[in-house]
Order: sequence, then structure tokens, then C-alpha cells
Amino acid sequence: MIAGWVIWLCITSTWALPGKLSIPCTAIVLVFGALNWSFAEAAIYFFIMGFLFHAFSITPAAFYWVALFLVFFLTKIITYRLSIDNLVHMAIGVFLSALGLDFVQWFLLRSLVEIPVFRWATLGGIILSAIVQALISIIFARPLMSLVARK
Amino acid sequence: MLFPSVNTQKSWLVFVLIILVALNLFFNYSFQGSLEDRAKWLDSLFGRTLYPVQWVFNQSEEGIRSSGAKVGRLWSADKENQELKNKIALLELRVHDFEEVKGENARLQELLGFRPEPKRSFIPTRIVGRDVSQFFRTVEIDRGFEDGIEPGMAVVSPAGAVGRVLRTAPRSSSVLLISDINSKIEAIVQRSRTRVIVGGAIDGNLTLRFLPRRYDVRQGDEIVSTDLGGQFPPGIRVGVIVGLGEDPNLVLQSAELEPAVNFDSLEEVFVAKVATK
Repeated sequence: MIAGWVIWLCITSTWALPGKLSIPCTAIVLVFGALNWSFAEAAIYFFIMGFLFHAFSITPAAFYWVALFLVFFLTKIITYRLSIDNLVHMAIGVFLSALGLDFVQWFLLRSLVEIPVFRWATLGGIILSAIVQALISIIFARPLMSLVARK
Repeated sequence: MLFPSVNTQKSWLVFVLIILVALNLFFNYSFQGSLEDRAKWLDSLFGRTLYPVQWVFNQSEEGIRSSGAKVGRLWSADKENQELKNKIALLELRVHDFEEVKGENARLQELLGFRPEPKRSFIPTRIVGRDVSQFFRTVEIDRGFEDGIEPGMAVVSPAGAVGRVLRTAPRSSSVLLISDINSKIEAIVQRSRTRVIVGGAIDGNLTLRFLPRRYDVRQGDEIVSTDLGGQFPPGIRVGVIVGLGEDPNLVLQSAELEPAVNFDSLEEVFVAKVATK
């Protein structure tokens, strides 16, 4: 899954998307990770993902690890109570995880840089990115869910 | 339990990872120092390894896109050719005028005893990748330290200032765009020659930072680069002031800039290199 995610990053990093829209699809990995991985496994995988993501961004690897693990923690807790049974559940899960991941990064960034980081335009980009990732997750949901079921 | 059990290897691994992450955060990303000062050898390791894959994807995408565009361009080639010929003739006249003024300027500077400006060469590069994060703005170019690119070099386009080189690999480099929140460059207001600091904002626009209220800046003023910061060649367009606002403390004012460069449609850029004698 991580290899697929890296290929996706390779492809999207060469796209000139309008505005500041980015669709890293990390939320899809997060949701499937929440269904598959333990906390310890996730910590290791996110460590690798953080460094891999840094190859495509100046996002600090450890900064990304913290954001990923925080959202994973919440998603994992939620999956103990709510199950993902169909494509709509999947899309909602990915949408919320993508939003969560961006908001956590936003919050962390706010404490790291001295300039104001809140802009409405960024909020629009974050929501649009989450919607696109949710739609993409619908396409990949069936093969990935069958992978989960096989496990 | 504060520390993981010795029996569980996985716990130890996680423990070690957390220590590594904490150290990485501590050394690399305090965000207090400049981006270049941060230790980033471990982080850039993956960047260097993955660049060839990224390049292949970019080339195949470019190939498909340019084939389609070539067919479309054939239709309008004749008319465009004539227009360009006229434009070249006009530009040749203007270049002649500029050469005259430049020569006169150089002679006057010599008479007054000014030191000659450093000669710069421009290395043409292509953008092969963009930052995949929502919050940071960098681009990847297809030239690295084997082509003479060094961190800190200014990157420009015909439209204006683009950014500066952040890290280099043998055949690729990352460029921090001037619209990134980590970016700060020195510039001047073209009309009043007031010195200002241009910084990036999270939404990709530019802002003037630490701007005292007494500074003579107006809406519509053109901001150009200066060689005072030692980064950009002087006179490169940075942006135009599109909005002014007052801070509540009434000491500083803020200004929004529209960048001279459209960062979304950038394809080719030039790295400014100061020629060594």
C-alpha cells in the first residue's frame, strides 16, 4: 500500500493543479491502516511514510509523523465503535481523515511559524482536497477492502 | 509502563523510532533558524533516491501533453510567425536603445568610482515536480550541483522572481518559492525606493512584513528585488501591492502583494549564477 502511495505521489507531484490543490491521498492509507495496522505497526509505517513524503515536499518528516499518528489514533479509536461497510462509509472516512490530517498540520504549523497562518483560501483548498481524496477512495475501495477481508 | 518491555522487540523499535523522530524535530525543525541551517541529510536521502522515478513520470506526462499541443500549434503557426517577426523588430530597436543607455551608465559609474556590478549568468532549467503538501511551496528543477547549482542561488523567470535554491542533489534541486511561508526576501518599492521585506503567505500570496506605518507604500506600487540581500539580481519584479491594512497596534501596517509570477503555470525557470572571475 505504501509503495502504491509513493507511486501516486510521484505522479501527482508532476501535475500542475490549479491553485494550491494537492491530493496526496494519505487519508486513504490512513483509513486502510486503521483497519489493518496496530498502533506499533502504524508508528513504524508512518515513520517510513514521513521520510518518503519529505522527498516530495519540504514538510518535515517528524512533523508529518506526528500529524499522521494523531489522526491515525483518532481513526483507530473510531473504528472500534463504527465499522466501514460500504463505499459511502469509506468516502466519509477518507474525507474526515483528510480534513483531520490537514487541520492537525495546520495547528502544528501555527505553533511553529511566527506569522498568521489562517486564510480562508487555504480552508477552501483543504476541503476540496478532502473531497477529491474521498472520491478517489471510492475507486480504490473495492480492491483494498477485499485485501482487508482476506487478512 | 514508562519504558517498553525488553521482551517485546516491536515496542523497542517503536521506542527507538519515537526517539529518532524527537531528535529529528529538535535538530531540523525548530523553525527558528533559516531553512538552510537545518540539518536535513537524512530527510534528503529519500529525495535523491526518488528523483529518477519522478523524472520518468514527468517526462512521460510532458510527452503526451506536448504531442497534443504540437498539432494544435501547427494551425496558427503562420500568423504567429508574422506577429513574432514584428515583435522581434521592435525589440531589436529597444535593445539598441538599452545598450546605449547601459554603456553610458557604465561609463558614468566608472567616472564616479563605483564598483562594477557582478556579472551574472542564467542557467536554464525545467520544473519537474511540485510540492505535494497543502502548506508548503517548493518546486523541483532538473539541474543539480553537477550543473553548478548551489543552495541560496536566486531563481527567476521572465515574469519575475520565483524563489531560491534550497537543497541540491547531483541532477536536481529543490527551489523554495517566494510564496512559501518560510521565504523572506529583501526588496524595494520601485516608486519610492523604500526597502521592504517580502514574505510568503499560507495561501500562496505575498505579504510585506514588518512594515512601519511611516513607510511610503501605496496600492498599485511595484515591488522589485534589490541586491542588498545578496540573493536576487536587482530590478527583478516581485509583485504589485493590491491591498494595504493597518495593524491594531498602529505601529505597523500590512500589505498584500499579487506575485509577478504565476506559480501554477511555471514550466521553465533560470537560476542566477554570479560569475567568478
